[in-house]
Amino acid sequence: MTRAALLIAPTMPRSTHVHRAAMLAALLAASCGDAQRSLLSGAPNPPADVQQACSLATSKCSRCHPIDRVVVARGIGVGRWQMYVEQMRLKPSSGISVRDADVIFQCLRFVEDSCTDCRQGRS
Amino acid sequence: MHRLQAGPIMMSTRCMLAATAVLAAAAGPAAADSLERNFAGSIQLDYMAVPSESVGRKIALDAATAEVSMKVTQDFGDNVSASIKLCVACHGIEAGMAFFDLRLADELNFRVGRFTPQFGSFPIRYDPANHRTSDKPLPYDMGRMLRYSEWNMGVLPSPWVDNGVELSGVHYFTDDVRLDYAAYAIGGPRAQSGAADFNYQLSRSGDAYYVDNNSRPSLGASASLNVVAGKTTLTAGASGMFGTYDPDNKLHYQIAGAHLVLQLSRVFLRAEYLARRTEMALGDDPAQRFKYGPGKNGVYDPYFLKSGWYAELELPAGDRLDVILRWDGLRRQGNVPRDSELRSDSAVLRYTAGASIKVRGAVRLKLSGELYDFSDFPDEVAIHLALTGTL
Repeated sequence: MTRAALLIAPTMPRSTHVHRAAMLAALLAASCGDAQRSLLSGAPNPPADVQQACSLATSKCSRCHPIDRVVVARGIGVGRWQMYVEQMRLKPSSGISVRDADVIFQCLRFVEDSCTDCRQGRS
Repeated sequence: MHRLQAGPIMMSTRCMLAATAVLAAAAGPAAADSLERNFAGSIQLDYMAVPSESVGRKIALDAATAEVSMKVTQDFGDNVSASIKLCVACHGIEAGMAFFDLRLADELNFRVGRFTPQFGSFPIRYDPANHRTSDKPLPYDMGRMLRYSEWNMGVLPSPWVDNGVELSGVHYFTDDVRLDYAAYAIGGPRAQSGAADFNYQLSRSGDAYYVDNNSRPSLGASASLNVVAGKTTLTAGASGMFGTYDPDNKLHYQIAGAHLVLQLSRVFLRAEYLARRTEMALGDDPAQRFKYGPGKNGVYDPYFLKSGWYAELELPAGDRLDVILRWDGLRRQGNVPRDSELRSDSAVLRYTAGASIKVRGAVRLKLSGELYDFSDFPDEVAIHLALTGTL
């Protein structure tokens, strides 16, 4: 109540600060890996360039939504992925360059082609 | 009542579908090959508990809520598309989108219809399946904050859906530096004559019709610069909107915002600040209407300033877990109506720790705990447990 009233920063014991900083550092270390998360899960032996492409795709897509949204959309066909990538590139603050869009599409094309369980052509 | 409210919305949607079909037919067989229709949807079932209150409903829309959205986009070739989105939430069924896009170039896109105008950073991720907490940051709160009625929600509730036209685009200075921009004219917020703040119910009431309430559009613009350097992306932007909100076209408002998003690989640090200056009708007898008297000059200040901010750290840990730490707040400065429980300078700070856990496919579990620190009310605790899915 006092903090909101005065709009001042909270005061904490030094040990509390240290513990919180340590926890945050551990989380940061765990987060800064280069994983492609689940985009390539189940894909047999993805080439190195595809792994790099999917790392970029994961990084760019997760700016606005969980990468799960991409994973569950598999099966829509390569043509639609090309269209989606273009639409996403043009979303405000997507941070996707024209070059990035080509790389992301390379990843999604591999993901689409390697998804044998997906129902092709669904909308 | 519900039927009355839903009627115009469903009619609008049917009209939009009909227009889409007509446009598709008009495009002819040559264009038929390039027609693409996409469906996307999301759902969030959230349970909010307020353990610091015996009956949380007295201060919040607590307990179980459902948010559902279903979106269909129809592309007519490379340049024209139509989008329709239906949303179901606490307010019932609403048309969250019903617009046409005409993209002539990266730098020039026209949007006309019902849409969310570009303002700030969070509204891009307003869909509950896209942001990692169950609720929205306080500046964009749309009724899920504690004491929402006393505060009349956030600075600019999100998604702000309105009728109008928007011109937008993106310009690449280099492959790694781009500028996003938009300018728009929309109906704007509404209230009754002699109001002292926005009345959000009038923005979604079929009884008030889905048209501008004062024959004057609100104008707005937004711009943001994106710089990419390796695995780091920095986005900085500013937004503004102004107009009048009462039927008599007398009460002015201005909203300004700034946002910063820093992405380090998979880690996100997001921060935004919004401020809204709103004119209140003083009425014939301000001494009876307002809690505080005039200033030293003997004149009542007709304006109040409502500001809001948040800083949010998103840390993905492994394939299934995202950890979220958020600090946000609201502050209101200025006179208040006599029956208001706020003071001439009131604030609320909120501290949130949360997690978004992938269960299977695109199904996620969201957990969060929130500590509210009110300047005018006892502190409160809220706990959210939500299930989110996407189609």
